[in-house]
Formats: sequence, C-alpha cells, structure tokens
Amino acid sequence: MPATNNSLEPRVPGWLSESGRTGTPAVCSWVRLSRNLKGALFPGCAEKVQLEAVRKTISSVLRKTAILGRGRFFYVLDELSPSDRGILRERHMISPELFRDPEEAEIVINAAGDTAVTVNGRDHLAMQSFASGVHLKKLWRRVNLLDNHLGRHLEYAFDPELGYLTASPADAGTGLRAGVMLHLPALTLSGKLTQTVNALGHMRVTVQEVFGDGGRNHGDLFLLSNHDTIGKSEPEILGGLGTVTDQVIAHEMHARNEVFNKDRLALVDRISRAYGILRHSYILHGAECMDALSMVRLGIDLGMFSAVDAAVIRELALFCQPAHLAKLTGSEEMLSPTQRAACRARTARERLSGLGGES
Amino acid sequence: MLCDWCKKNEAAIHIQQITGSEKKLLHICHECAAGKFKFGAGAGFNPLELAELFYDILSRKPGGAGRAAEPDSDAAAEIGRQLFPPCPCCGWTIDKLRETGRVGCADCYKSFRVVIDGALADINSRGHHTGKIPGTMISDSDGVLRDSRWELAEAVVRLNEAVAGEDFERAAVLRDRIGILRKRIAVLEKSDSEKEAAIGNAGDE
Repeated sequence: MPATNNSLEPRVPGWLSESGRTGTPAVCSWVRLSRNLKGALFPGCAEKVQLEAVRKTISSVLRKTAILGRGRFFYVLDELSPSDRGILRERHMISPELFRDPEEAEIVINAAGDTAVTVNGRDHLAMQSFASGVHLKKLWRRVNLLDNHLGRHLEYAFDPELGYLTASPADAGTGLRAGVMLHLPALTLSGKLTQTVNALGHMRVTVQEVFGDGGRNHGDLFLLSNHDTIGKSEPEILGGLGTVTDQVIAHEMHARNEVFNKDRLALVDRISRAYGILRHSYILHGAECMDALSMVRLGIDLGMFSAVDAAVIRELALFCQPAHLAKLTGSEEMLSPTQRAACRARTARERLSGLGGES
Repeated sequence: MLCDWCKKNEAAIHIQQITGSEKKLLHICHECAAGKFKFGAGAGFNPLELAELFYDILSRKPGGAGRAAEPDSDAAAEIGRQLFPPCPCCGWTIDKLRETGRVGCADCYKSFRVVIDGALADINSRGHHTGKIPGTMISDSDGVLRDSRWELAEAVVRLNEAVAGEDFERAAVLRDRIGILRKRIAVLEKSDSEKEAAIGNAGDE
C-alpha cells in the first residue's frame, strides 16, 4: 500500500480546513452507524479466517458498488505502517483498538476525506462521516444513505425489539453514535464546566474530554455524544444531542463574556503568553501545546488576532499529534518524545511565522 | 435434588445465603433462577443481587476505556456462570461479557438476554428499538424514498406490459407490489416531513 497516498499525507483533510465560522465553540461533529452481518461472529470473538471471510464479503460489495464515489481510497489496515495508522487514528477515522490490533480490518475513505466505512473494527461495519462545525442532520443523511446502499447487499444482524445487534450492547438499537467536539475554555477557566455538565445529566448526553492526562484537561476540548442508542429514533437522538449542544454553546458564550469583562487584562495576558509559547518555543510538549492552542483559539474568537486564521490553529492541533509529526519528518516509525517535542515546536513556529500575530 | 421453588426440575444452582446468624441453603433450577432474576422480588430471596452485580458491565465508555466490573466475590461470579452458561453459538462467556462489555455474536443477545436487558434498561430510558429497520428502511429520508419512486414508476410500466401481454398472474403480483410501494411512499413522505422538523434543531444550518 503506497504510504504517500493522498488520504494519509500529513495535511489537513478538506472538511476540517473549511473556514468555519470563528467565534463559536463548535469545532467539529461526526455521526457513526455500526452494523454486523447476520450469522457471523463479531470481530472480538471471531478467528482470523472468519474475520477474513467477513472482510472479503463486505469488501466485494464496497468494490463492486460506487459507494463513496470516485477517487475513494481502500486501505488494508494491517498493511499500513504504525504512523499511517496513527494518522487515521488522530483524525478519529479508526479507534485506538483498531490502531493497536488491525487484523483483517479495512477502511475505505472518500476523496474528500470526510466519510469512511470501516470493516472489522469493533463491529463488522462502521459508517462514519465528519464535518467542521455542528452539522448532525447533514452527517446523518450521509451515513443513512451509505447504510441503505450497503443494506441492499448485506444482511444485518437485527432483532425487532433490540434493533441492530452490535458487539457492545451499549450500541444496540439504532447503532448510532453522534458526537460534537466543543472548545470550552471559558467554562473551564471559570470552573463552571462541572456545573454545566451536571445540569445536563438528565439530558442523556455523555461528556468526555478529548485530551487529558487523567488529572488535568488539556486543550479545553470536549466531546458531547448521545447516551442512548435504543428507545429513540435516529432523528430523535440527533435532535436531542443538537439541543444540548446549543445549550452548552450558549453557556460557553455567556462564560466568555463574564471572563472577558471580569478581568480583561489577565485574560489578554494569558492568551498572549500562549501565543508566545507557540511562536517562540524550541521544545514543546503535547499538553503545553494543546493548552496554548486553546488560549490562542479563544483569542481569535475574541478578535484579538486579526492575522491568525482559526484554520491554522485547527491545523496545528492536528499536526502536533504524534503520528502527524512523524509523517511531517518523513518517518514511518513514531518519534521519541524528545524528537516529537522539538518537531512540534518547529512546526508551530513555522506555521505561525509570517502571520503577523497580535493586532 | 429437585428445585426448591418449582419442585419439578433438577436443581442446578446451589446458593448459600447468610442473613445475620442464619444460614440458608437454596437449590434451584436454571429456569427458576432466570425467572427470579428477571421478575425481581418474591420468595424472599434475591440471588446475591445478580442484577446489580452485572449492571455496570455495559455502562463503560465506548472504546472500552473503563474499568472492568469486578464480581463481589468468586461465589457470585460462579453463580453468574451457572445462571448463564456459555453462548451455544460462539462460546462467549458471562465472564468475558463482564470483562469486555461486549458480546461474541448475535446469539449472545439471547444467551445473556436477562443481563443485557437489565443493563440496557439502565443505560437507556426505554429498552425498545424504535429506529430504522433493515429492508423497509422507514427512517430513510433520501435514498429509499427516491428508490421507491423509481421502482413504482418501473412497476407501473411493467404492469401495463403484463396486462397487454395477458400475463394476469404477473400483473396481479405487480399490482400488489405497487400497492405496497404507494403506501410506503406515503409513509416516507409523511415521516420525512415530521422527522425533518424533529431533526431541525440538531444544530444544522
């Protein structure tokens, strides 16, 4: 499998580089549908030969139909190098499990890089689509269409009461997982995040931090996803998540106003220091980088940086991940932490140089 | 030894319950144990709150980052094994379900139904599928509606051909099919507009 293929190049996928509206905490959203084939053991239980049979069945359907359109890419995951798999992992195309254990797994990605079908992940089949900003309705249309196409050729494991049967019973029913990534620096700074999350407890939405080292969150990025997969229709699930997302965004915007009005100088100082770290470091560790990116992004949203595009920050957030850094240096193997820190600092300096900066 | 409850079947599960200083030994069959587990209170005996024991198997985060639920004791785990023998289709065990939060095949949903139903009721507000159905694809808003219209148009043409060719057997089949398609299209069109409204607040522009 050529490693230099377009989908695995260290560049920002088109959907993420779309210049989304600035000033909003909405980073990106995704929708995923999980399915299994009737009569086949689920990937976690199946032997290699059974997994291979499933992969061939699904793969032949994918290849003989025009699913995902012209210019799509097929990758057999265990033929990819760790850094190539890492690229897919860091773009949330594959799970950490699939990154570690890619046996008989395959992924097909459309040319735009925003929609993918994974074979033999946790379930036999996962169809997922991504968008910059919050576009749950559009994403549902995409994966639903994919599911309808594939459903004409494949017989799914289904129970009238329990719905689509998935490897994890927590996904059973619709097999639908939708997620929204939000940037919530003001709620984090003001310490109101826990309060907001607790208030959402009854809304059946799960909140997870995207980057954290156990004790502390880095980057102020949070993932909201649907708690329920059964007992509601797909539009109801997505509608519920959309409502909660709107509420959290409103809370964040309110908190931003408060933080800004309370101690403007302290906030501006903090954001400018963060910019300084990104702009002038020679050793930059992941956690520090994510924290600084979060502050600069907040600064952009508040109109502090006229010359720095939010897209550059989104790009850096992706490029400063381990596999992307490895690819940037042309290495097929992952870099050591020291090499990564130096490479990360260089990347940040280069991307931010010549952009002017604070206005 | 016969089951203490139904007095009919051979007892397969032997449970020792200690309440204060009182020790009680109960011998029950698989059927009664499963029934008891499912329907809750009664007979003044709760087989070590098995529901609770297995409850958190599925409440872990997607991606398996959570901590595996530990059985309260080896005895409790043993009862779990006795109550739920390995899945006859794939051999998946209740222990594996607890460790991984996953099942091995579609039949596991039958083999471990009681446990999964309990967990799903906990995870989800209502444990009944009301979403999309394969084949009928009632929740589709684009593809099926379009395809159904195409199929309807094609079926009408073929029906006319069949009638012209006096192939009435085929015409009857096609007529039935057209009836089904028309109904489906009507349902899809109606549900489409409702669902569009329902999904409208999903943050889309």
